[in-house]
Amino acid sequence: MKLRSVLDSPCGLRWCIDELPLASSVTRRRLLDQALYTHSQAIRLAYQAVARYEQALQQAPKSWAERMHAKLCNLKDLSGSLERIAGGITLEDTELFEIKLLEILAREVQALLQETGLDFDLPCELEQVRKWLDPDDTGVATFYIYDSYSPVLTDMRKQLRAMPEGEERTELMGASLLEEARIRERLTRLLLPAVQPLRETVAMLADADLNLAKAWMMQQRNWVIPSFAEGNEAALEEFWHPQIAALLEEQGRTYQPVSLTYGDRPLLIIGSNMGGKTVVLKSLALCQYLFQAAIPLPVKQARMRVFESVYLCQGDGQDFVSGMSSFSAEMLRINEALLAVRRGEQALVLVDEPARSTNPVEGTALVEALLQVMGGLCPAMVLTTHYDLRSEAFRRMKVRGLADGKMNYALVEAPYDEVPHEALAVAAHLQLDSEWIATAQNRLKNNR
Amino acid sequence: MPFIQDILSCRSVSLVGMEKNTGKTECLNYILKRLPVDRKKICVTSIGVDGETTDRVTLTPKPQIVMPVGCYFSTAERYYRDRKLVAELVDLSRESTPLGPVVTARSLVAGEVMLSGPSSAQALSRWMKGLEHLGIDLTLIDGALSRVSSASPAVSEAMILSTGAAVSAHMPTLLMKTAFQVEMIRLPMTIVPENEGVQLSALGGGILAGESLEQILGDRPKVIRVVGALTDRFLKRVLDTSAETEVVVKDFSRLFLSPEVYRAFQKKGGRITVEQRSRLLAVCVNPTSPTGIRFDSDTLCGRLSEQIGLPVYDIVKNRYEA
Repeated sequence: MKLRSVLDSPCGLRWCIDELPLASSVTRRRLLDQALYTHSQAIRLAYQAVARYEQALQQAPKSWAERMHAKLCNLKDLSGSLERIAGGITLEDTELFEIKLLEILAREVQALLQETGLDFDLPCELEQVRKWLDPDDTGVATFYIYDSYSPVLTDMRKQLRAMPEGEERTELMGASLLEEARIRERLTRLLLPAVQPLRETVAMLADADLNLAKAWMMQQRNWVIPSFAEGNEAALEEFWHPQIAALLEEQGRTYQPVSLTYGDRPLLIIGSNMGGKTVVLKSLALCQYLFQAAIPLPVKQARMRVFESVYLCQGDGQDFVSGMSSFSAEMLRINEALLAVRRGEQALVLVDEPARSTNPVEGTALVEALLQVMGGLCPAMVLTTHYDLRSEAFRRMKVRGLADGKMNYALVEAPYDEVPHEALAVAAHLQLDSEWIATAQNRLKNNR
Repeated sequence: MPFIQDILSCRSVSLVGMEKNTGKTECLNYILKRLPVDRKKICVTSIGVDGETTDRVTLTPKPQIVMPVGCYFSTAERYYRDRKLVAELVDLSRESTPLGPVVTARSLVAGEVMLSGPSSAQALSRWMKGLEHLGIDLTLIDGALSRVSSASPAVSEAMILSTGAAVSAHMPTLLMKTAFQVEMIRLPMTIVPENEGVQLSALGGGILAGESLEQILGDRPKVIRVVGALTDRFLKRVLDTSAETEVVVKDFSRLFLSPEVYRAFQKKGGRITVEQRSRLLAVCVNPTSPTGIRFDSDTLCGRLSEQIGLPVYDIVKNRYEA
């Protein structure tokens, strides 16, 4: 599954990807087209590269990162020109110039990386590319069909320079342009064996850009590289949702990081409204996607495991186009996850307040059944609810909730017989109509 | 060699023609031929399309742009491909045109090339900034009155105006139109402090909806700062509702006024001023038009010069060889 296909997941992944300070659009495209890693060894290797860049950032002067970033801003997508070479179509001067600029850029980036001890082994064919496109070995970032490509051309240009305007000069100019075209054809043929090495060079430069951006997130935003879980249990210690944290910061408020272990046993999160349960699920999905793209995580520390897929069943999925109600859309989405785990897919299933839009009697039955059926197949299931579910088949945690007029978002283990009764307290905290709240309190008292 | 030294004292100069076929390309070739491209890094581009062999409207032959050795030029990739000169590519910009990205090259063997560079004032400014690494001393922008934004002082420091028989077959009309354009270019700078006056958008901010200027201004001084273009419609509303008003625009490129409305506004004691003034280096004329009109060059130059108080040049006739 490509990162692009989950970019608009409601977990806020797009926001995080947009925050990566990538220098080139080539890098962004490469990142989004990258398949999410499903093998821990691949993630480990990718994170090791990020760690090396992070170390380089720490050791190098500040200007080093700025110079790297400025250079990598010049990385362009040459796939069209490289396709044309492979297809036997003669390149224009501008395309040959682009290839020459790529070769120069690769050497400059290599030199910068070597300053910090980072390896950057360019394909050996690049040396030959340099010789073809800089025949006079000037090292200057300009290009034209050089005189030295052909003695015939040299002679023609010599005559042109001395010749006054007129028909004869026009003819000679035409002949010289034809000779240029022949040389372009020859150069394109010469470049054919270098097509793959040039593609690799673009990819290497994009990877350097990406690793630098990931390392920057570690240094500037305190994101970290997680460790790998030994068993099925994953753990996030003091994680935060970066997009929501940034919004709160804009409002002069602070985000309260929370901690959680999950993955080895179905987990039920209960707790008051506005207690951050939805944000917890969003953060879990976000961290999982970031982990499987080998991007550092917004946590103090983490122990992660690989999943084949992530299902975040959340929000109002009412679909006006297909005429589905929010209830039907939600049920179908959860069913999709259920079918996947039935097929044996190793999935992380995150379900936010399922069946909340139907009557509580049937809703409770549906959620209990879901926990029983899906929970048996998928230990990596986290579900939030307000329903009164009391089974020992799953672990229960709750949001600590309102205390002294302030919400404490910490998650703590919840006894099996505890159902949160905080809706009225939260409503009162919101300073709603007093008669409304008082009447509700009375009704509750009478019902009891 | 008139006005060449003036051009060299600037960082950027725009050439603006009042109409097609007013001799702008001849003027550009004249300038290019005389600039010391061996000593100064000079780059030329066009905000439209210049250097075609035939005028697409009148189907008459047009002069081609001849790029001397050492001169830098920026054009769309497609036109670069069709060049008839030897040139070395020095920059591939991110500015794009319908004919491909804008490329910059240095002429190695003189020849002809069609120019079509960035097509808006913002794109021109970005292009000029992008060329800073080449250490260009002077940029020449071939513009058009329909895209007068290239001559805005926000883009180029100075300008050269070309006019001629193509503007009008009637010499007094040609003189009047050109003199009015020159008057607009040379409008005085405002001396009203920046924080004074009411800021109104080109859409009128109420004034076009019938609100009187008195209502809008209240007790404040009669100064209106127009954000965007100043049109006849707007100015008519001002003169209908208030006398002796100063209307401030950013620069002359924001003016879309007819002489009649402007004169009526002046008669009621109104004045238009600018925040940034353009430096008009010269006025060039082409006394002939593709439709066969031919004015006497000396008479045209003399009468126009008298009206505008500036020297006027017929580049083709007089050549002004060094």
